[in-house]
Formats: sequence, C-alpha cells, structure tokens
Amino acid sequence: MKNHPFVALIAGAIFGLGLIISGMTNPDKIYGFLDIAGNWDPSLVIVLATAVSVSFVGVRLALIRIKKDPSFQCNLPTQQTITARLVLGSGLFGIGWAITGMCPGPVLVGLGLNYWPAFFIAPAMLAGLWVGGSNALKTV
Amino acid sequence: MTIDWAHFLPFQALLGGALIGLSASLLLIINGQIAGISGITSRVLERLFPHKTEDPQTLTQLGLLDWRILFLLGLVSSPLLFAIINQLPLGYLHKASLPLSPSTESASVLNISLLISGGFLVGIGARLANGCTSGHGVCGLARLSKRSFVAVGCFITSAMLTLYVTRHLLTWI
Repeated sequence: MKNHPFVALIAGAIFGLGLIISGMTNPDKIYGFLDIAGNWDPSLVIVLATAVSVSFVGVRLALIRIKKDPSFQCNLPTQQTITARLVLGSGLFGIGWAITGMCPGPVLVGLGLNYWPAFFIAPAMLAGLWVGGSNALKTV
Repeated sequence: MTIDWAHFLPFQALLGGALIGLSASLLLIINGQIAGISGITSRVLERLFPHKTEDPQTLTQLGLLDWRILFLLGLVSSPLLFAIINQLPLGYLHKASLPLSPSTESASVLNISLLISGGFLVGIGARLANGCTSGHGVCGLARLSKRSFVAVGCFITSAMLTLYVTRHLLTWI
C-alpha cells in the first residue's frame, strides 16, 4: 500500500483547519449542540452534514478508482454486523464526549492550540484507546 | 428549544465542514485510508505498545514517515496553518470560535477528574466502537455504513442524555 506521507500531512492539516474554523475545537459549541433543553447551537449538524456530503463525493471517486486502478489498495472496513460492542463503545464514547466537550480530533488540535484541558484529556484518551484494544476486552 | 443565534456561525460551520470532507476525501482517494482519528491514533499506539495480537497491521514496521504519524502531525500543527491564514484579509475567518482556556482557578479536583475520566471514556469507547465522530460520523455516514449510522445514533443520544444530567441535574458544566 502506497504511504503518501506528504498527502497525509496536508490532509491532517486541512482536517485540523476545518475543525478550528467550524468551531468544533471549542467545547462550548459541542455543549451548545448537545444541550437540547437550552439554547440550541446547530453548528455541529451543519458541520457534519457538510463534511459527510463532501466525503460522499470522495467515497464515490475512491470507489471509481478501485474499479479502474488495479494497483490501488483501499483500506475500507469490511465488518457489517451491528454488535453489542459497537453499541456499548458508542455509548461510552458519548458519555466521555459530553463530559469533556471534545472528541479525538479536537483533543489533538487542542494540544496545538495550547488549550490546557486538552493536556489532561489527551493522555487519558490515549490510555483509553490502548485499553480498549486489550486482549481481555476482545470478547466483549 | 430556541436557536442560539448569538453563537451560531453558519458560514464557519459550512466552510469548516467542507474542509473536513475535503481532507477525508483526499486521504481516501490518494492514500486509500479512512480519516478516522481514533483508528489512526490506535494503530500508532499499537505499534508503540503492542498487545501482541496477530493483526498484520500491528506487526508492520511503522517508520517515522508512516502516513498515520504525518496525518496526526498535520492535525496538531493545524493551529499554525490557521494563524497564517488569519493574517490574510479574510475578515470572516477571524470570527472562528476557538476554545478559551479556563482560568487556573477552575482547575479543581472535580474538574481535573472529569477531564481525565471523560477523556478515558472517549478513548475506550471509540476503540470498542471502532470509530469516533470522524471515522463513523464523517467517513462511515459518507459510505452509507449501517454500523456507522448505529454508532452515530448511539453516541449522540448518549452524549445528549449525559449533558442533560451534568448540566441541568448536577449543574457541573
């Protein structure tokens, strides 16, 4: 599989730029979206809908490339069954997300923004990511 | 429920969302990889601290120029890119909503504990779900993946319920 490190670097920078400009690195915007009982900030829906729409085109183009280019290896997920693990994991993720107001992308960008809560969230998140992959949890 | 017009910036949301979509599309079309932050980070962690599985991706040598490391580097460096772009006369961008570092007085034991436990839950939850808001939310929905629809439904519901408890019942946030 071709590594294309420079493209990955640019893609990461654009991704982070998108998170910053859209306000998704600001936990207050996330809380504003999640707080349906208070003043509702729909930013996250707009961001997600726009990102998904653009990515939808990207996915179609990638699928065309898969068909036309035999040398292209695309690492697409193959699992399709909805598992208890998926639901449990998503549930736990949601709790943490609502508590911190940050998901993995904003946490990493937050480090670059010198946002001090990110310096506490990040190591804990890395620990969680690692523990989540432990052999003991493989049967969950 | 009223719309928070004071804080809602529709243009920024559209532009930012489009950039996120562009990034994910680039990574998929050129690198053939999903722009899922939790997955990318997990693979790097797995190479550094392997669980000794037989996953072939774990055992592959991860050089410093591995696309994952460079993607994460790009992500952490994006504030620099934002600062540079902010020098240009594009007035609208200056209104982007950045996180405000809370005062150090607010660094109580409760708040630090919340940051740590919340962060841990984000990590372990994303790993178990095999994706987060970027992997399932952006890429998964774009692929029309059933698993991603379920994941997104679950974590948004869970998050909204949690915030209701922490903000309106416990008044923590």
